[in-house]
Amino acid sequence: MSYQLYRNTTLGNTLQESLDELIQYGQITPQLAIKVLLQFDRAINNALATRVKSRLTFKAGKLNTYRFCDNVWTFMLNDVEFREMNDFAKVDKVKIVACDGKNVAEETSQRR
Amino acid sequence: MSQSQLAVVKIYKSVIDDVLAGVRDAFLDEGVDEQVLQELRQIWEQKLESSKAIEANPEPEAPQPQYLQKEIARNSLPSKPGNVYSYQSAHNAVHNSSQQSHMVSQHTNQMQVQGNQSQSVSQSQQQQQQQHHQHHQQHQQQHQPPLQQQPQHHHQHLRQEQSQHQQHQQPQQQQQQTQQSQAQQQQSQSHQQSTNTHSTTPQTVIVADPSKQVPIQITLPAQAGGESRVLTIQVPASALQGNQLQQVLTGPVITATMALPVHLASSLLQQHVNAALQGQVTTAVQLQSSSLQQNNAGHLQNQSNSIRQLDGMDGTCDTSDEEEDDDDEEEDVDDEEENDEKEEDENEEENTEGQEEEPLNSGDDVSDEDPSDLFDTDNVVVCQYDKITRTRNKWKFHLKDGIMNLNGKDFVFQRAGGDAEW
Repeated sequence: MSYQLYRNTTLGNTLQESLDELIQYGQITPQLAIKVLLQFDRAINNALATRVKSRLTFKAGKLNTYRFCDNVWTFMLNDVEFREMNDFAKVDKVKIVACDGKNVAEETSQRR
Repeated sequence: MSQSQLAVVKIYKSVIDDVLAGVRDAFLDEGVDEQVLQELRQIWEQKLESSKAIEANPEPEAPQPQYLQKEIARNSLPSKPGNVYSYQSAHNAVHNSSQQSHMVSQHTNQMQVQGNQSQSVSQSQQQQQQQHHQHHQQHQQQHQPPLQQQPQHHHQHLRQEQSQHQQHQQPQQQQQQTQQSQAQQQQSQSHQQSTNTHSTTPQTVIVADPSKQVPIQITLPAQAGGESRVLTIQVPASALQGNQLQQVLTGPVITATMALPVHLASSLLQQHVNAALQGQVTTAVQLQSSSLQQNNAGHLQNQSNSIRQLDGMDGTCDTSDEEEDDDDEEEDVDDEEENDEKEEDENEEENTEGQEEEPLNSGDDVSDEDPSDLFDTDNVVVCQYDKITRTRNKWKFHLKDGIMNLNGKDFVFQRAGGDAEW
């Protein structure tokens, strides 16, 4: 079992929407959709662990809130600048949701 | 950033491939066709594209523009506005996996939408389609009620012969249609009553310019003592896709509309369509229709909304007497005087606007609404943490394997480190 953390991303949400459509049309069963999502969890975790190479840093003006619950950190940062090599991106508010990376335990609930 | 975007796209593609490869077996086990798998991929990729979270997608939706042309071609054929025929067969033949064809095939009691667009078309297709549609016409007219929509489209590139030909046939068939519709109505009323006015076959039109406003005529069947009325509303062409109109102009709406005179009915439908297309909320539709059924005038929504707000807010919070009897009301309740003052000040303001929510004791809230609002932003980073440390109020983050959506754009990272002060 992998983290279902990544379901609330562009990729994950579009997949869920597509599956919902197919269910609506009666082309797949909800059971099958669940299987697809589980496969998605595995695939995305795998891809992030192996295929992604980029590193970046960020600096926040302010840490607004922090929360640590069920081994999940949720931060709200203000005034953040993300830097990667030459380019950077600035945002006023960002929410960071982070699951425990040391031990990929079974994480069955979705995180927002 | 474009470099990273390309990397993102590549990764997403590989994830899609992995997922689909992994579920192929599961699909087959359940007896689901491979076609559905491909459809899932297509829908998924379409949504990714339209979400604009990634740029420079190396795999453009090549099928789409081609399909657009073909379907517009087919849509140019129907020169008979009175047709009850459906695009179902045409669509299914061309583009099995399109949403529209599926929605079309599923809902048999809906509206018809016709588009008269013409673009470059092959003659043989036209002839086939015409024959086909005529068969449909005869067959379905016997069963379908007369509620019809007739969009009259003025589009740019067209073959003049086609357009003239179409316009020629239009008046003839319109007459036929109204006659037939009245005859049918009497018959069908004896069979099905309430479903009559709402059941029509769906049709879809693909428009090259989805933002264009398309005038659509809606023919309402004659009521007892009334006569057939034709309303015209402006609908953005994008609404014609995907049969959204059929969802919008549902039964209750049409019933409500029938009760109103023509100009009110058309403005009601127009509001409906606009609101529904903007919000895509069916509850809004029901609310509007129910509130409009209560009154015929315009300021209904205010009344209905304020009526709902008044639920459970009697006594001191009674808004109807608010503006004049503030002092009396406050004296009645000693405990919560201060709260009432703030409440009623706010209630006054809000009631003059008439439509906003009234959270109780909202004036007392001193905090920055952190819990509800602040945790709901667009810029999200979903990742895993290696280490989170803190010294006094200095926090350090060591993150990995993350996907970020910043300012609408997607990024991925293997590692990320950051600092913040609390």
